[in-house]
Formats: sequence, structure tokens, C-alpha cells
Amino acid sequence: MKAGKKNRFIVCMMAVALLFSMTGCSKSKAETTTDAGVAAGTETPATTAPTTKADGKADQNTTAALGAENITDANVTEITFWYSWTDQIQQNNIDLTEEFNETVGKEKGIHVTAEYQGSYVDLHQKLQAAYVAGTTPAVTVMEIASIETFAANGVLEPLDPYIEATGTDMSDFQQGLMQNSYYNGGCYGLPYLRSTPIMYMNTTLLEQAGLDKTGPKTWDELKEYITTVHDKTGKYGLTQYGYIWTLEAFMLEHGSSLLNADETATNLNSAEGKEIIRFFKELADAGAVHMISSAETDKVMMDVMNQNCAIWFGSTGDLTNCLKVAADNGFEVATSFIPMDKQYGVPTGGCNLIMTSSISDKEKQAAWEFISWMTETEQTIKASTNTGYLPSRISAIENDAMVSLYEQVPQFKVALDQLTYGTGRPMNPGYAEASDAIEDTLDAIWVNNADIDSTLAELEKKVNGLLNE
Amino acid sequence: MKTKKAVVFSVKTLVNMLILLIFFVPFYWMVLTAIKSLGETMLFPPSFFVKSPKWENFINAYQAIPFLKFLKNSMIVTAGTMACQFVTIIPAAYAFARYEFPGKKLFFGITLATMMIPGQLVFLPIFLLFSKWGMINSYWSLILPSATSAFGIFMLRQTFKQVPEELIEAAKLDRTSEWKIIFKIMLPIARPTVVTLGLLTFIGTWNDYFWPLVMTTNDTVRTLPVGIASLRMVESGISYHTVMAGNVILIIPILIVYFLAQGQIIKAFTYMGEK
Amino acid sequence: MYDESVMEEPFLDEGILIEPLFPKKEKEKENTAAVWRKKAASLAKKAIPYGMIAPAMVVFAVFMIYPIAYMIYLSFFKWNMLSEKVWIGFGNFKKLFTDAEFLEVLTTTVKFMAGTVAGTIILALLLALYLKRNTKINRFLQSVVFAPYIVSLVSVAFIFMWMMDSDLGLLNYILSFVGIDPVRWLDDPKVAIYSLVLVNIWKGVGYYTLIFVSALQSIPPYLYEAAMLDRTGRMKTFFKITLPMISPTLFFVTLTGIISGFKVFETISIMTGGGNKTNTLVFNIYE
Repeated sequence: MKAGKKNRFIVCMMAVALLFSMTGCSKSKAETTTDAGVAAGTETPATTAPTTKADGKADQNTTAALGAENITDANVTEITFWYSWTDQIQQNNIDLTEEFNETVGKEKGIHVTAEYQGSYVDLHQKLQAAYVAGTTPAVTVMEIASIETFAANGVLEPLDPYIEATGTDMSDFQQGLMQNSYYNGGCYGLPYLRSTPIMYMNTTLLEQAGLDKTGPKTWDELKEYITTVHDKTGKYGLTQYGYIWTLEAFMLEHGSSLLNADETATNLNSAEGKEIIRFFKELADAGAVHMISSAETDKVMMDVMNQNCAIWFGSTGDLTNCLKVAADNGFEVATSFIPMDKQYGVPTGGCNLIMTSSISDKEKQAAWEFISWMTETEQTIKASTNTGYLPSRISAIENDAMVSLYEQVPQFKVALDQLTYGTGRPMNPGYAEASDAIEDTLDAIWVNNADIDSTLAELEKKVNGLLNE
Repeated sequence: MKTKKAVVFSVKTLVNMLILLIFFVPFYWMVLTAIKSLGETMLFPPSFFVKSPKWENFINAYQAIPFLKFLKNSMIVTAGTMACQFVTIIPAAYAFARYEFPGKKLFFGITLATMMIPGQLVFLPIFLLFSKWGMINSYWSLILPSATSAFGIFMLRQTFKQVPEELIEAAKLDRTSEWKIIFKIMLPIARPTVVTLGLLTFIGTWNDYFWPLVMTTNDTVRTLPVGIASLRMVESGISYHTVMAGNVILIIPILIVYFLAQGQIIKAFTYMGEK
Repeated sequence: MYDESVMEEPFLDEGILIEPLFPKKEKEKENTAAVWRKKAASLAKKAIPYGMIAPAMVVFAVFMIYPIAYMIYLSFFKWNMLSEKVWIGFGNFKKLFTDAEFLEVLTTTVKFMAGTVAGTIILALLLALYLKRNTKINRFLQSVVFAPYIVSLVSVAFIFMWMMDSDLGLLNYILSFVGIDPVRWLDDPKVAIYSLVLVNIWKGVGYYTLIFVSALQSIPPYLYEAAMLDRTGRMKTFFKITLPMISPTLFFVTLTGIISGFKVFETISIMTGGGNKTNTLVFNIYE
């Protein structure tokens, strides 16, 4: 008995090992609490304190329950829509879905059920499993860097025929937001909740340090600001963590990019990359910059809240939250472009709406109606004002509601203006895993004092391997 | 002599206090955080008391997820799993304890081997299987994979084996049916084991996070732990006060039940050590 | 597998009759029907144990053996769940064993398992020795120590994540009284895996303490009385009497400890997401 048991144990262990090897282990830092979106390169959304979300989930139930009842009605096309994140993003998704069901949906016999799936990474994993099982939702949000992976494997339905048939004015979408929508010449997604990283400043602290509150425009000025704040007030000039998305921005500002043009190699192990990494490392060693590990990203907001830092980088989606925090804690916040070195440049982020391919034609038509409606000017404005994400349509920006919002809160305008320099994100299927490796390296150097040259050389090898798999 | 006794006593008291603190403070900290405001959670050094408790944290946590529905789901899944295990474990344990049959060793070996298999290894094929059967987002997808328990079969078999042979022989002479032997003789004797296994299954299923996480794509059958875990899917970071409030709602009922029935529960669990 | 219907066969009394070893031919002819009935009954009797284990075995077959087999089958393909499956034979294994990360994951798993199992058992044994006398205070402390065991690992993970926060955490605040610099519990690759071990010990130690307590209580007191008469030292008593007496329990506890340590998922998923060198085998598989 004992020997037999041992054998079986070995068999089990073998099986475990076998499985591990399978699929090359698509490793993405699943759902580290604090950097939930990092692997997928998302930004954490803006928020108006959890208190305001009230019965978000409860509403969602009603939607689901209604969906179940309506199935009996043969004339109604039932489709499912998956989304990520809770809080006011969830509220926005639920509200818009309900509005669709009551207006266009009622008219055309379509009923959409909105279902929550966790972070972007969670959602992508579930979509993979659902695809294999043949139970994909008709429509889902998708983090923009992942679109190529799914499109290349035939999970996504190209939207071009629908766009043509409906006559959607594609030129109305902001060009900076469109790069990640295309794969092999086909359009696979329309911009939905989108953002860019921007620079935030506590101008109250800047003034205390005797600095101009328009903020630094170049990296030299940034250094000056950081050291001055530290010298004059004893607070940190800047707080940040190793974040793939802002690193993409830094590389762009330095006239480079994190990956080369055909996304087969990283440019991080270069003069530019090292300059960026050293820049923050040296300031951190001098005590002027507070470096946080990517496992504790919420510490940035803590420094901000306690006015321990003057400058921080964040998503445009955080603006509503930052403004509220500032108001609560008695300081003022300004936003500005991420400083330039050789040029301006930022990646965009967030999610697009996509349609899956393994559904019936009738469902596809319904899915398109939904996607099309969700990305119309009117809904774009609603989503933007509800969540703080960028309006993705030019016509939306010119709309009175947006114009007056920008007059009231000029900080919003910065993000929008910066979009002029916006680009897409790398779409290589190996990039998610590579991002984890890069962030681990940033942690190792910035927080745990690893040697820059050797660590970067090692990273380059690893990342290039992942990109070419 | 007296002083020595006093020293022993005070050392003991100290150790007792230490044990109490180590195991009690995390729960206290949870409750405390749950009634702090976001600002208060961000203070360092942290405060050990709260002047104006923010009870609305509980309301927020409660409203952030469809709480009652998740509670109902948790109850159904737990009850269903326990019922299934009752039906599958008892006969299997009895057969392994009391019968000799070809292949017994093999089957028992398989049973033991399955204990080593983590759910994370097998969830994908099972997910695909349930998808094929159209049973994703149904209670079955959460109940069936744990409809039996290798550990339960093993433990109960050990207990059944200890029942004196004479009892069963006597019953057989009386032409008592096999089922009657199980229910009238074996189970009463094995009651402590059965209760313990029931409790273990209850705790395990009630607290399970993984299966409900991977087997569901909407809220229809999601359970409480998944709901509580989703509280962190917000904001730029975690708002610990809301998460802890949700945690309190999840934990306190089970803790209350535990401390009310602790005598029973502890007795049941300690039975394991006595075999 | 074995048909469940055999369970429905009545336990015929005839089954108890012993079949004649050398049935006479003429008798057989006379009573063919009866013989067949007997045969069927004996078959039914033989089928009883199979019927009894059938439900459990069906569950194992469908939800354990089939999935494992399927996963083994998949391991010979290059497949990311989206693309077409491509047969690559042992390619995945070659890659696996040449992958430096795999070694790291393996080391982490061993560290995690060894730390959790050893830590839990030693602490549980110490606690059990301390709490074994059946007094009111001890019974109360036993229930306190056991409380974390019944709490969801998700909740425990959240609580400790919060207490182990490197800037705001309670643990670092307590350490600051003793003059110890803040520890970056979940944040420092050198420390994180041990922090997780700590959490798992805290959660599981109560269960094992209870098991040890009852094992200790069931040691016949006369053994200790004899040892006292012989003026045997405390340590010697422990190693010569206590330890051998509870060795079956120790074995049981170690085995279940290893099994559950191997399967830990929640703590890692929630607290570190596999970052900071806390990626164990099971977590890795999930990803």
C-alpha cells in the first residue's frame, strides 16, 4: 500500500509539473490587490468615494433578473456585456446598459445584461475560458493592449462591415485613442473608457517652496522642482512606483519607446532607459523622491492625502478622486503634461468595447447596436462625466456640457490637450508577462537597490525572449 | 515556595495574555478599521480607539455587493455540498472498512491520491465540462466537484474499522439489512467523526473562494467570499475601512456561532486526535 | 464505472445461502431457475461494495481523474487557450526544465511548505503542551486559538495585508516599540514568503493544537506517574513518553499539513499575487 501510494503521489506531482509547462504559463500577476490593473496596463479609475456608489450591485441584479425573465420573449435578442471594476465605473456601465435597454433596445428588440468580472486581468482570463467553452459574452470591455492577442486568435469580430453599414464617422474618434483598435488592417474595437497618464501637483506645497505653480515643463525643471520642494519643505518632491504605463510615457518623452517599432525588443537597456532609471534612483537616494514598490501602489495616494509629496504621476481617470482628496485636505491640485525631455508623448490606456466572434449573426447585429450606441457622442459625454475618463469623440469635446465642465474644472482640459501627443500601447501578446518582469526590475532597482547595469541586461534578455515567443 | 508559585502564576498569566493578544488582536483590528474613516486609516501611528465610529462603512459594504443574494448562495452551496457528501462518503467509507473486494486497494488508492490534487490544477477541464452541460452559473457547478471528500472517506473508514466485529456479526445473524447496520449501528458509534467531518465541510465550503471565483461569470450563484473580495476592485488602491467592514459582516456571524457552540465544536474536532 | 443500479438490488436473503461446491447435474436441471436466482443473488452480493463506493468514485472520475488526464493530454500541446492546439510532444517539458523561473517556483514551494508545516506543528505542539490541562482558562484559550481556523482565508488575508502594511501596519507599529525598523512584510522579496508562512501558521495552528491536546490527554497518566517515581527529567519524559505516544497523531498532522500547505492559493492570490518571490507551484498553475 505504501509503495503504491508513493507512486501515485509521484504521478500527481508529475501531472502538476506537466500542467505548469502547458501554455508556457501565460503569467500575468493575476490580481495583486494594489496593482490590480498594472499587468494589463490599466489605470485605476477616478472615484468619488465609495459612499456614493449606493446600490450599484443591487441594480445590476435587477438587470440580470430582468434578463432571465425576458428570455421567454422570442422576439427579444438577449446578449451579455462584461465589464471590469466596481464603484462608479460599475454604476456607469449599469446605468448606460439600462438606458440602452429602455430606449434603443426596446425599439429593436435587444436586451443587454451587464455582468461584472473583476479586474481587466480577471475578465481576460474568464474570456479565454469562455471562448474555449463556447460561451463568450457578445460584448465586453477589453484593455487596449490585449486586443491584438485576442484578435489574432480569432476571438474578436472585425467591426469594419458594421461600421460601413451604419456609416459610423470614424474620423470623429480622437486619433490618439485609435491605434490599439486595429489589427492586421481590421478594426476590432471602439474606444470606451480611455485615459492617459498626467502629472499632478500639489500647488499649495509648490508655493510654500517658492516655486511657480505652473509646474516643470522639462526633466531638468522637474529635477529642480523636486529638490527645491525637498530642501524648502522637507517633504518629498515626488512619490511614485514602478509603473509600466508611466515608464512607457517616460521613454516616449526621451525620444525613445519602451519597445522597438515592431515590438520585438525592449529599448529599456539603453542610454535613455538608464538615464530615466538613474534620474529617479539618484533623487530617491537623496531623499527627495519617495519610491514605492509596485505592490503598494496605494501609498502614492497616501502621500498625496497627507501632503507628503508635491508631485505625482497618475491616470487622468484619477482626477475626480484627487480633486476630492485635495478639497478634503485643504490643498490645491493642478495638472500638467508629463515633462518633456526631447519631446512630448504619452501612451493611452483604458478599455475599448469589442464584439466576440463565436456568436450568432443575430447576436452580432444586436452587439453592434449596443457598441454603436455606447460610443455615440451623447453616451461618450455621459461616460466621461460619470467616470472622469477622456471623451473619445471630438464632437463630444465641442459639446456644451463638456465645454462647461472644462471651464469649471480646467484640470480636465490638460489631459485632453495632452492627447495630441497620445499613442497606443504595445500589443505584443508577450507584453503582459514582459510588463510584470519590467515592473519587478523597477522594484528591484528603485526599492531594493539592485545594480542598474546588470539587472537591466538580464531584463532585456528576458523581455526579448518573451516578446519573440 | 510561595514566591515561586506566585512567579509561576504571573508568568502563566503573562503567557495567557500573550496568546490571547496574538489571536484576538487581528480581529479587533479588523473591527476597529471597519469603523474608521478613510482618513483615520491613513494615520500613523494608528489609533487604537475610534471616537466617532463610521457605521456607514457597513452600509457601504453591504450595498456595494448584492449581499443577501450572495448569502443565500453561500447557504445553498454549503447545504448542497454537505448533503452530497453525506450520501457519497458514508457508503464508500463503509465498503472500504467492511468489505473485501477485488480492486479495493486500487480504489482506495485513487481516493487517497485525489487528496493531493489542488483545485487550481483541474478547474479548467471542469469549467469546460460544465460549460458543455450548460451548467456554468448554476449551483451544480459549485456543488458537484466537491460532492465527495477523500479525507472524509478516509477518516470515516478509520472509525468504522474500529467498530467491534461482534456487533456486526450479531446484527447479521438477526438478518439486519446492510443499510440498517450502517444507520443503526455504525453511524451512532461514528457520530463524533460524522459531526466533525460535517463541520469541516461546512467551514471549507462556506469559506471557499476559488471555486465560486472560477466557475461563475455572473452574480447568479456567486458566494459571499467572492463578493467580499470584490470590494477591493475599486479606487487607486484599497480602501481598507470598506473592505474590513465587509469582512466583519462575513466573519462575525460565524464567530458568534462558534463561540456559542464552542464546546461542541471543540469536542468534535479533538476527536480526531484520539483515534 | 460501476453502475449505480446495483445498489437498488435488494439484499436477498438467499444470498446468505452457500452455493453447493459440486452441484449435482440432475438437481441443476430440476431447479435451473432457483440456481440462476442464487447466482444472481451471489452476484448482487458481490456487487454491493462496488455499489457503495460508486457515487464517490463517479465524482472522483469526473472531477479529478478525467481533468488530470485532460491536463496531461494538453501538456503535449502548445496552446494558449485561444489559438489552435499544436502538438509539440515534450517541448513544454524541455522548456520547463530549462526555465530558471521554474526552479525558483519550486524552491518557493518547498520553502513555503516546509515553513508552514514545521512552524505550525512545532507551535501547535508547544501550545498543546501548555494548554493540555483541562481547566476553564485553558479551554477558553483553546477556543481562542482555534477561532482563526473557521474564518475564511480571504478575510484572514485581508486582515493581515492590512496589519502588514509597511507604512501604516499595526505590526510595524508594535515593532517600533521594541526599536525594530519597519519591516516591508509583503513587499520585500526576501521577507514576503515568510510573511505568508506566518499568516498560514496563525490561521492553522489552532486546529492542530486541538488535535494535539486531545492526543496528549489520552496518554494514560500512569506512564507519567511512573516517570515521576523514576525521577526522570522533564525533557526525557517528553522524548521517551509523550512523543512516542502521540507519534500517530504527529504523522497524521504532518500528512494533512503537507497536503494543505501544497494547495494554498488564497493567501498568495490576495496578499501578493505571486509577486515578490511568493509564486508557488499551485499558484503558478492557476495563472
